[in-house]
Amino acid sequence: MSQHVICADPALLLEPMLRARRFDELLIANAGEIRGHYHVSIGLESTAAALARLHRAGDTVTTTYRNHAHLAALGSDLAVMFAEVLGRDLGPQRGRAGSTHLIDPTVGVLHTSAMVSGGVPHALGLAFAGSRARPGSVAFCFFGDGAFGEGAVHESLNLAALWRLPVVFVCENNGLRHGDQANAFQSAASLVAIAEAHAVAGVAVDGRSPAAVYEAMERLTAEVRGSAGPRFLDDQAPQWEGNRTMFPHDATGRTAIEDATRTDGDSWHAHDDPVLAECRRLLSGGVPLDELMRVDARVSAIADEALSRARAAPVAPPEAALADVVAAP
Amino acid sequence: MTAPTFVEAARDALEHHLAIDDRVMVLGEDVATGGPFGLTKGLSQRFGTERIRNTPISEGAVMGVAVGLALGGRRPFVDLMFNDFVTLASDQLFNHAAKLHYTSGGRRPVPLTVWTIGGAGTRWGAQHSQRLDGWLTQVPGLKVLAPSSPVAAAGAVRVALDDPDPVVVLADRTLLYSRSCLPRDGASPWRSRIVQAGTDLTLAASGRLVHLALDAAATTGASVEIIDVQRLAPLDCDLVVESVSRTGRLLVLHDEAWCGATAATLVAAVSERAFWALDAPPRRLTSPATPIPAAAVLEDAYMVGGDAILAAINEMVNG
Repeated sequence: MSQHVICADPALLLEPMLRARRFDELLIANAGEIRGHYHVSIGLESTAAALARLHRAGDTVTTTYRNHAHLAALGSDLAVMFAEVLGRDLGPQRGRAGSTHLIDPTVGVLHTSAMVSGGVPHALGLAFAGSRARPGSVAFCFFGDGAFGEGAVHESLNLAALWRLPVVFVCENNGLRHGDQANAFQSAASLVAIAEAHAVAGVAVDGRSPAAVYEAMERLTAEVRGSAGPRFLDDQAPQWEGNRTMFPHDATGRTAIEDATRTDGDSWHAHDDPVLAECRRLLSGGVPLDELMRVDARVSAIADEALSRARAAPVAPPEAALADVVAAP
Repeated sequence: MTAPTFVEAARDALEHHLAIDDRVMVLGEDVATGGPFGLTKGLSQRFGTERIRNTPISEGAVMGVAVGLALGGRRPFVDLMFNDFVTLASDQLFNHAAKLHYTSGGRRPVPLTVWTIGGAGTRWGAQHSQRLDGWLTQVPGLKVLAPSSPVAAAGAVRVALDDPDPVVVLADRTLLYSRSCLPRDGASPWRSRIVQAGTDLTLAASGRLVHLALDAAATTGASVEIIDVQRLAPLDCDLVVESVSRTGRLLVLHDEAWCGATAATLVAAVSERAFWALDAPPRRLTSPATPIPAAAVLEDAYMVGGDAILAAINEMVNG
């Protein structure tokens, strides 16, 4: 693959990654205020950042219950996101969606399914409608490796290829390889092999490298925009250990940007954290640590202010539960 | 000119909408070649296979694609063929189509029409004869219509394609090629309608059973008020309750097992809202709680039939 140089600009990938990271860290730090379940995207920010850079007006995005990074990176209002997770009455969803169904139509996230594989076929319909209305637009379709256990993914890969739909399939794959198998639950050698069996060309990438993810996703997205049909990205990102419990827990501490100058030890931040990996790329590209710290301070302040704004919103009223069941009662 | 059959009338309504609204698309197995029961006959020739799209036998993904199309501004019409196939599309229908408007905070309607045929009577056996009304009507967010005549079928297709919400049109298998009209056929497909006024007993039914009820009532001396319950979800109970408050008796017919939802909910609504007007216990005639048998004699025994309806009317009015 041709390596073109991504410029050493913190605004490109680091800033959207930090929006996602600081959002999730704040949620975990304030977990006592959350009544229901929630999932965080820590360790999966590479694809979200690439999405933020590649997304154009008219594109749509389907995501999963692990949706925070996608929305945060796309620039969705963090206060509305916090409020929805906390059951506050700030955004249109008014506590009826919760963490698992976060949306923001202004950035192309029209609906979020919490069923494993649930949003995958939606991307096909959105790609069909979107590309006819606005040629060159695409649907970004995110799902986890577990979704390959569901028939909908296989049916959708086949149908997208059959109808040459402009879908960028992105599997955020935190499953471990299992001998000769893609993972413990797939007998195929790789997820790319499964996609290619359905005539969807694909590539695997190391999710710990945001620049590599961006380059791969940029190439695939360009092919899809050029009417080549759907493409598949296997984003191989090791599972963050804070996600190994039913509820996320603070397994690795608040991310410290200055730790990017260290790669010693065997910590997650030293080897697997995509946020610090991007910091290291920027440092080696000549961006001073001070500038990275300033970017982080600005993003962290935005996240802190958003949480305060969400907390200041009233609790969603009981009558909100009864509204909007259908559009035409 | 010969009156259209149920399927022809529905097809004509679909064709009309395809002509006036270019957002309307048809998805399903064999729809581009006319559909297994003729519902889409000639449509791909007129509107092209871009809009009349054959799909693989992937009901789950196809229903999901339709949800995505609806989100993207189209008005998909899915021919789900047999009602039994709701099982294969159920995640997309129940967990997605029915809930998106709510979880999106009212920002994303899902204008989706699902056409599906159900019911016993043509000896197709246990997996191609069910009516899963009970399932479809248990999920808030879905609207379910059960048309009973060609005019009603056309009306159901028309209002479903005009509606911003997901609507399932549940067509009765044995009515597909029927040309039989009903009194007050022009009434709104959304509302229960009185197809025959009466004073002794209220008989609530839908689909094919409305016709059987009319035939049975014609052979009894009783004055039977027959109500066609066209909207199964949200179940339109008001007219039935009002009628029973006048007649004092309720008989409900429904092509589901006795534990299915529709007949039981009608009886519950009357018990709650017109209890003191009752002169007799409400009664249901439904299918037994068994899979649907294939052999003609067995299937006939399974189905609610005219003799049973007549006997029930006479027992309730004279007993």
